[in-house]
Amino acid sequence: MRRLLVIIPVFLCTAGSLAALDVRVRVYDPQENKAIPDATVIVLETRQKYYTDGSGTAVVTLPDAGFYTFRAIAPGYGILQPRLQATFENQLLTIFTSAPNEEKPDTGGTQIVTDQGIQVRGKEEKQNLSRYNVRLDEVKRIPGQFGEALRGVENLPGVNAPPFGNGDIVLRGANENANTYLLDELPVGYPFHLLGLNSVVQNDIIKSIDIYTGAYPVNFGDATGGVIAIETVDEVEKFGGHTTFTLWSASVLFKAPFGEDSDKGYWIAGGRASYLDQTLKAYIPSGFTLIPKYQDGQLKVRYNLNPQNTIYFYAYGSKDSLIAKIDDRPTWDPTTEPPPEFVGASVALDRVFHTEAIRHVYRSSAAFELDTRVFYHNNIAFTDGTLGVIDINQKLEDGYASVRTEATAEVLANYIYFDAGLEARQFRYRYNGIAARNTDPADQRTDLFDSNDATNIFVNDSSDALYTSGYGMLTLKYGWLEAKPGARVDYFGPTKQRVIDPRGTLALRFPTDTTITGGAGIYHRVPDPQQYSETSGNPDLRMESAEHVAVGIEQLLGNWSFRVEAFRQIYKDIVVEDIYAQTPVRLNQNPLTRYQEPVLYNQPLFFSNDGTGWSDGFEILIRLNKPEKKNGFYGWLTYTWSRSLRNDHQYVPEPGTNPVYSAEEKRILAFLDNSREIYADFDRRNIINLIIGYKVNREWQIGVRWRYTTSRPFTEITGDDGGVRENNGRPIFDPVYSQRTNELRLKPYHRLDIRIDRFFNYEWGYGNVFFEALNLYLRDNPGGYAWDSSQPFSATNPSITPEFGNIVVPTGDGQGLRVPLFNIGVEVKF
Amino acid sequence: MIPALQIHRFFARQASLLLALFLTIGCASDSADQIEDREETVFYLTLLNGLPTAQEVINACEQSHQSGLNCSSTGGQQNNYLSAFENAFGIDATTSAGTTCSNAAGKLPQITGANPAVPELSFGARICYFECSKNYWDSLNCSVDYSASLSDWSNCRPAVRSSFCTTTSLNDCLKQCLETGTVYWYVPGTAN
Repeated sequence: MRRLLVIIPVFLCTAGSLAALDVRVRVYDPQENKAIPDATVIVLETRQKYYTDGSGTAVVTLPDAGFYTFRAIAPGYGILQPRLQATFENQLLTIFTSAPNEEKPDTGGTQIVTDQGIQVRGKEEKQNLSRYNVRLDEVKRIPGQFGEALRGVENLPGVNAPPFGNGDIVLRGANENANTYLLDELPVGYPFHLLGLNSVVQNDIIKSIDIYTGAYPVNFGDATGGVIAIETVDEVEKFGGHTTFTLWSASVLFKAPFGEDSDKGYWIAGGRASYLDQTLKAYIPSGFTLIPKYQDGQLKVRYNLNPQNTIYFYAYGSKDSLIAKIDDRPTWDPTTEPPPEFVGASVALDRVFHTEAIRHVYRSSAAFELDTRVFYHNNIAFTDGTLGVIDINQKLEDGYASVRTEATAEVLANYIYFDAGLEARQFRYRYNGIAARNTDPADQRTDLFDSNDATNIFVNDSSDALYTSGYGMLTLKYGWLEAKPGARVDYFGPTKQRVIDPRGTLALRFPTDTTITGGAGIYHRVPDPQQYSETSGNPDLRMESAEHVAVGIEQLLGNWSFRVEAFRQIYKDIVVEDIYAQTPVRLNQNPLTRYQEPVLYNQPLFFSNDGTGWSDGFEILIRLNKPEKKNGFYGWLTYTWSRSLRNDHQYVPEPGTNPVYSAEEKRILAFLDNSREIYADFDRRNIINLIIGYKVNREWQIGVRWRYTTSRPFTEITGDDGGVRENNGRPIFDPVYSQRTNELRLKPYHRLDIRIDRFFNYEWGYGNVFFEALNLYLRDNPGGYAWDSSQPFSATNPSITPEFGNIVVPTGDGQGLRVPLFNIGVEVKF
Repeated sequence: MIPALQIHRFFARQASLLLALFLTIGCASDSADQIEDREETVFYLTLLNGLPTAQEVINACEQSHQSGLNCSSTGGQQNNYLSAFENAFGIDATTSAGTTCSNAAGKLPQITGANPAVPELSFGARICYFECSKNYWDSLNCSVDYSASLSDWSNCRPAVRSSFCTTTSLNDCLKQCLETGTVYWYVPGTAN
């Protein structure tokens, strides 16, 4: 670490030296995948003229590093005149004759320049295996997602998302909480606001999204599922912005370069506020209180110190709050009252995350890049609520201050590259108040009026510990072969665990644009903060782990790509609720009894690492790419077949029984296993997404999406408990479940959505009015298997509830007319 | 600069090494245990043998019931006690401890829609209730306010204990037996 602290200032101090330099300028046709020979290249500032050789490249001498305007004249292509940044000796600058395809040829880690701007690419290509990349314009206007670009990833292979979910997604059968969201490789606390209507990152700061569904490289840590890496806009040429209005929120974003041109950098600032509470106000019945609110904001600043050194500043965050209450009014009519367990319940939630970062990027005269970040990330969650025997009042805060540096070096041009990174985090963890724990996880529906099912526990955690990580990865290229072996080390201070994760991919790229890839790796993830709580959880929890294996083949044919991948993932040390895990002694945190009884014996730990699982399957992607500003068809078809099973390895009592054990028996039963694997709650066997878009012209665009999924599994309810519990005189019927857990499924879900966009183009930008309609053919999709706790078991209880997705318009005959759910929105770009 | 030919040779030599490296990484990641751990199985069986038997349940029941009968006799409310015993455990109670407790180790009524009054108790949990009840009856001055004592005992019956049991000595005993268990002190470095 000390050596690193010395190296960074040395780079910062020596980076400013400039000298005359030769760069290579290549003129390239991305549609035909060929370089253009005999093109004329003129540097307007020096008035020098050059001609490209047989490989489409010209060696151009420049007086100094900096920005230059290059005029390229190629037969059949007209005049191209981009402004390029020359940084180092022998740098390769590519001038594309049109917007490049998404799957770009290897550019040797240089800038890709088109007449529309500059994109800085990595020193070597990102892995192809299990990575899907989508641009903002491809996902922003997908029908049926209310214009949220981040929801676009739900339509990619290997992604399992509920139709109207809160934004949590399942990647290749890993648990929902096993994924990591990143914004320019900085942490995002949570991806979506309450109810999932808006993401916490505005569309217009997003440039593209990489989604790694498995076997990802060593630079990603703290995830056993997948990685959703959002890359933000990194170019602003002039002052502009975006604003959007919907029924529940409004957002605005401004951006501008520093100075008259974009040479020095830019700033982007955006914010969103919801007024959902006001929208819903008129529809909330008397006796109910529901106040949902959320805000988010993003600020990104880039300042180019000189051609080699760039400084970034980031500040972004989000806040969600919800107040909900149901009055305890004695109507005593179960047909009009809410579920009896919720009568008199109240909850106040607050959750916040924020990230502030300073980033320095240094690009040397050789193919070397050093990316250093100093940042602070914090998550705060406050809960105050009463429901049955549960009475929570807790505040949880987990965050860290971090120093991370990542280096990318070209060891041997075109053959060997090396990536390495180090990160040191000072982890800060605070957890205080009264929390609630499930004391009977074997019961599928926790009875919140039964103190045998749930309990309150006092929490008082405070710790500061180190969390350090390091990784190294080689990229070896030879002919058609590319190998990326690497390893990652993580040490998590609060649970004092160190893990080493080897990972790697192997790719064969044939000249026929065929790529065969395979990869494998080990992955670890830190448990959730409340799980490793020293006073209310299990402080000896290990990190969850996973082993990923994937193989795939991809064929490119012009703008078409065809891809098939198969995968298998094994999960170990999954944190599960465990009523048998105990600690011999624990300090009493109850402020009322701690002085009488300072030490508690044989206390439950509530969680253990006993869970295991696996998933496997295959994915097919057929995709038609369209350059961003071209007219025509685009879209993709995905099919995912997968299965995901879990075993919590908890002792399962004899079928049909639910006995009460003595403490000594529980201690013995904790050693007993079960070999029963069940389908994960989120498992869906078949998922199909078909997206077809057609940009007619600059004014009109139309898109349709058809989605088909197998329904999630559920467990049959076979009876009730006779209404043992009650809430202020209202009986609560608790269901009795079959022992055949998650063996039934409802009928499949499918629907067709459409979106029509009308653009009004002006000199200052454009206005966009869009209309979208969901479930066009009015399919009666199943929503869930619902239990009414105010009624005993009968032929109509439980029942299958319909999925939200239609609107019923009142008619004269009283029957009502079902019409597709529709949405209208306005977007302005200036 | 290394000539291209030398690079080709370098990689040709290293290709097999790289393949071996990948195989090693792949094999290292497969940590599944392929060999049955017989020692562990024996350990579990030994633990299972430590679980209470039906006869131990019957013995605990007889002792408890006998103490309860004696106390209720002193308090002059034996019939009330027998009713409370039936209500608590769901088994027919008589003045004969042997007859009453011969069913105590049988399957007690389960939680069902028809009869939710008595949850099913494991052998160990039944022993907890019987032993704590015996201690309760033995510690009482049965000739004084027996009705209140019987009511307190009924509030600690299996179906309602967690919600209504407030009698300190009985509640503490049941909590210790059902929730805390034996406290083991682990002293590092002394185990041999």
